[in-house]
Amino acid sequence: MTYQASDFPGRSPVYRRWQDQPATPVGDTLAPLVTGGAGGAQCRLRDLSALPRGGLRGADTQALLQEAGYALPAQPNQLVQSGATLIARLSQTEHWVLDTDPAAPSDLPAVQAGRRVYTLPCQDSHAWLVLSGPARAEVMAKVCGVDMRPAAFAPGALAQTSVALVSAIVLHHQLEGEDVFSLLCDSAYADYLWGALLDAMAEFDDAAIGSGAPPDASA
Amino acid sequence: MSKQRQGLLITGDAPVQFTFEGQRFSGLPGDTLASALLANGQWLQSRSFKYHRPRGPLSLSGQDANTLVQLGPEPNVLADRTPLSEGLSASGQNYVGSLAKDGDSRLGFFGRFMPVGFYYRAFYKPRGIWDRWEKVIRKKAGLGVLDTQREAGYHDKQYLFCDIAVVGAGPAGLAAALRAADAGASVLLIEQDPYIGGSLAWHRYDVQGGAAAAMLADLRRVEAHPRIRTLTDATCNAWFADHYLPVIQGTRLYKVRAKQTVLASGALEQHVVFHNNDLPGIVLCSAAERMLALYGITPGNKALVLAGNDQSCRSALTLADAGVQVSAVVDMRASPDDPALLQALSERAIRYIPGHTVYSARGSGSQGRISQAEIRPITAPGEVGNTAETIDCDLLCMSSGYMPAWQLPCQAGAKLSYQDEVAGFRLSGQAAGVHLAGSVNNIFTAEAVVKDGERAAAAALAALGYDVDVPESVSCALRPNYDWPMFAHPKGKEFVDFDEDLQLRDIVNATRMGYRDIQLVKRFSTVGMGPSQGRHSALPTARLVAKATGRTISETGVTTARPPFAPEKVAHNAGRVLHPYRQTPMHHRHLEAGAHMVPVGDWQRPAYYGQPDQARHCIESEAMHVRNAVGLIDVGTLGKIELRGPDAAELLNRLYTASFDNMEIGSTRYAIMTNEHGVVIDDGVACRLGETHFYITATTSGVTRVYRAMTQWNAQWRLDVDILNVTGAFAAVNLAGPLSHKVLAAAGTDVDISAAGFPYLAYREGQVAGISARLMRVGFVGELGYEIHVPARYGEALWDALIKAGRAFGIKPFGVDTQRLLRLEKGHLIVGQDTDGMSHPGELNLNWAVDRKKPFFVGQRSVAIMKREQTQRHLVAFELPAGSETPAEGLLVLEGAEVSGKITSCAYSPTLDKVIGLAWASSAHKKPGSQIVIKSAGGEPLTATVVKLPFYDKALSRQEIQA
Repeated sequence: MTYQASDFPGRSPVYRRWQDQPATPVGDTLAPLVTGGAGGAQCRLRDLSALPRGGLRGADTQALLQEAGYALPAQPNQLVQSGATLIARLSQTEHWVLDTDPAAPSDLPAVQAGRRVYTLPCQDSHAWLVLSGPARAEVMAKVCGVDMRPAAFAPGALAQTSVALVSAIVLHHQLEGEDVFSLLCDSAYADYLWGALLDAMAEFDDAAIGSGAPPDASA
Repeated sequence: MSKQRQGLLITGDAPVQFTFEGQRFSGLPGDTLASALLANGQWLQSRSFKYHRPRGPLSLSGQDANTLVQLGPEPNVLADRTPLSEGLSASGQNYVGSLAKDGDSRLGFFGRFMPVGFYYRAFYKPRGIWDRWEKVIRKKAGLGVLDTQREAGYHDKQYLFCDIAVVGAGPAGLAAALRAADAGASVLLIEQDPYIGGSLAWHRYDVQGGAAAAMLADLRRVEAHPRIRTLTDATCNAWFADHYLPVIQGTRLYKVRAKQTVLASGALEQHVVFHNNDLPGIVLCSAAERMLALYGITPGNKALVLAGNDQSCRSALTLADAGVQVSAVVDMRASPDDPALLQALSERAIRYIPGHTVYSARGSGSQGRISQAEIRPITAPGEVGNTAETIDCDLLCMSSGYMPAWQLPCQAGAKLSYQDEVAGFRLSGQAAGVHLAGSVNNIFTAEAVVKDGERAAAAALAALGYDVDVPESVSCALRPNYDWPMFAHPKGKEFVDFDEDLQLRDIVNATRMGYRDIQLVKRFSTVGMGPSQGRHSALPTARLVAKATGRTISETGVTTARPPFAPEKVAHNAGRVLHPYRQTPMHHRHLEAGAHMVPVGDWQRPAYYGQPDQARHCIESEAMHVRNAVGLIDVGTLGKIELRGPDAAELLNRLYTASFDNMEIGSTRYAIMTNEHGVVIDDGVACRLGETHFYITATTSGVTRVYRAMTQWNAQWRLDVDILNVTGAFAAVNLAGPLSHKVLAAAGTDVDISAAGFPYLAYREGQVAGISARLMRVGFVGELGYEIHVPARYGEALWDALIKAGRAFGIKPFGVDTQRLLRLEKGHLIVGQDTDGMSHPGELNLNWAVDRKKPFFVGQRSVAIMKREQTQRHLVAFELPAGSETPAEGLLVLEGAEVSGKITSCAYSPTLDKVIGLAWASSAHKKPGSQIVIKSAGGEPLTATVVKLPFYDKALSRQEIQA
């Protein structure tokens, strides 16, 4: 079945960048369909903005998540990957939970009154782009001052930094068996950042552009 | 024939056609423009800056200004660094007529009337004469022709990270890279030339020859080493603190971040100063060796070598072995250090003339190429005897020694000290983590250079925590510098600085005029200020100034070598010109509706819908439509902040002028923020969602500042509140106009939108078109209106739903320019437009929004003081009758001859059929009915009447549902 993004109330901020590609519904949003990872490409850019994510912060956040059974990163600026779920720790008191498998979204624990825990609208405040392929660290070196070579920025690393002059959170994790960078940026800057990344990718042969969600999404 | 040329860099035999000075030439793949010209016998490649003397390559490695050419639209391109390409078209520069026949070459005859510094002492007397001279001088100044219309093309930047950066891929750099990488470090090897090996690729390191090639073959291991990345054709242009190295390769600027730096930047071969030492055909020995080894060019038929060291004697052997007839080696020394050289020269029938120098040279032919050299015995430092011998030659190779490439080390804090025993400068004292290796460290034999590279790498490894033994410093017994290679001539033209045509006496005269400090000599004489930045003039200048001022050469020193090491383009520093922009989720709907978009900070917003040449019509018709029917504006760019926690109301109390304790849940309140000086810095609407939950809007341009102020203040106050900037997380629209409630109802909402259920200034949450929304009954544009905020992902769907539902009511989108007109009619000010950096609430008629009873807010004391003071100015509302000129915003308000204010907002109101506006004016005129005088664009006074706000809907009825 062919879908149109405009048939769904939820829309990725960059849906026009991939709207001519096969797509599949994720909740009330359309997500681009992907067949495998970067494949033979040097680098690939995908849009995972439709996939579920949420955040909590406040003094009691760590305790709440631990009570709910989440394994949390030991330090800020780290992430823990548990299957298709990423738990990113942005500060002593702020955690984001991102699901690369839309079929099994994590339900963040309910916040009881009186606890110092506040929800974060990550699904809307931030777009979720994924940069994959062997040249991903080199692409990032053209737009970001953080050393993202594997030796310096191993899977499990997280950087809150500037990418192409806009604030972004970069996560190094696994997706479909390959190491990738997830980039979370202000959704209003997403179209700009998408273009800036394409520009940085342009020098690499076989740079693949556009398609998005993991294959499970089509299931 | 060029087809037979074999050189390290020559990669094929297919001819490459190009033109120089309009003449067609043919080169080979791998040639530079300069090498291809030399292969064609074209030695004349440039004209000197001041005397327009003919010049040809000196170093053939991009280290001198003699090969600067005009390459199409680009001036001052080094021909010996420019790869040859098919169809390339270049010309000389800085001439009148042609390169071969430069009318300005006559200037050389007037050299004696243009002594150093004459620019500073001429052309300004008699008074007014400068105006005439200026045109002439400006015409003569500068090199080449700049195309000011030229587009820079694609340039970009990239970070490169490594453990150890090695600058220079000569033997020292290669050895250092291998030692470091073998130990496990990641290495970035940076080489300015297009090949690795440095002098191993072209210099003869032993009398027999062959040692260099064998050594290089071993060091080529770097090319396949997994931990070494090599950049060739890449210039490290500076050393900055913490090993931040800008490296330019092609159109890219690499920003290298290293943990340690090995500077194996080599040494610059130095020339000999004698009469006419700048003629085409007079080159450094290394240049002749490069011609042979790199490009397969036979540099001359009959060569003479002027030696100051054993290296230049070995160059003579190389030339002879390549088939060049070497007439003689004229050695300034009494004998070579290596006695075997005498035998080798003898075997090749090369005359060896010790204790002599070339005293003068003569050029001839259309290119002015050297044809004769006069040699004389050296009788004392800088002095020669009367016995002269003239030797015919078309090539003169010279070397008086080496100057360590001091620029990067000195940027890293190193000091130069002159050592008489080696007649050269030595570098020491560079920053921690910077290691010198090879000839920059005064190590010259190949074996010692390699050891020194390995030592430097070991030191860098040790600093990185590797468990390695750091060898003792490497010593080298070679003494390649001749101590006084400068010979004055009665006719001058013994050039110390080729770039600026500075002769021996120019430097000495500068000191005689009182400029004793080397920095002053530089500024007065311009020595070292040319494109090559003193690479060949710093050492002789230091020696000359030291002697002339009676100081040591160490005391004299050289001038500061600031970055960049080599010329770089503005485009390199600019890189990709990125312009971040923010778009709301409805952005494309605006484009589809024909919006004229304008930037508001990073945001892109619709100003109005229609063509710019119809702007006024579009704005006025959109405004009338909002007044009479219904309009929809995207206000998603508004700042939005969530405050949650027990102290949320307290934080608002302290930061905004109003009181928030008593706000009811489900209500909104206008909020203005002042800074410590009582100046209004932002305004917005505070909504109370719960006892401990507020949602605040801020201005589009002010939200970052507001959020920063909140977090900054709370870092001190430690209130129990979470502050979250959710600007991008929410899309927002303002549905405004008398029919807006009907559109909202048609779109579908579960919110009770009756007049009683949703009164003015109330806040509600509910579904709109099936989307969870936050709704506010606010009246910025002065009509019944609903500000609807939804999660950003649903913004476009909300827009679509409201436009669809509104069709039956004639809904039209309106832009931010229209909103500005509507709010002006309603008398609402815009912080930043109607206010400035000194505006306090009283001046703005905003005292009503200041709670005087609460104990504290930021700026409270200042606001109170200003309230007591007699204010000088006031923001007033004014009217002009229809048909009047609409004065532009920014025009002045006059009080007699004095300026008393300016217009901040002004427009023709189609609703009121008047010109209305806000202006700063004297407090004396703040009362309605007063007259203010505006200085119109044409200078004529316009008299406007001060009125009471609002201009529109004084009864405040329009914000309610109309019966």
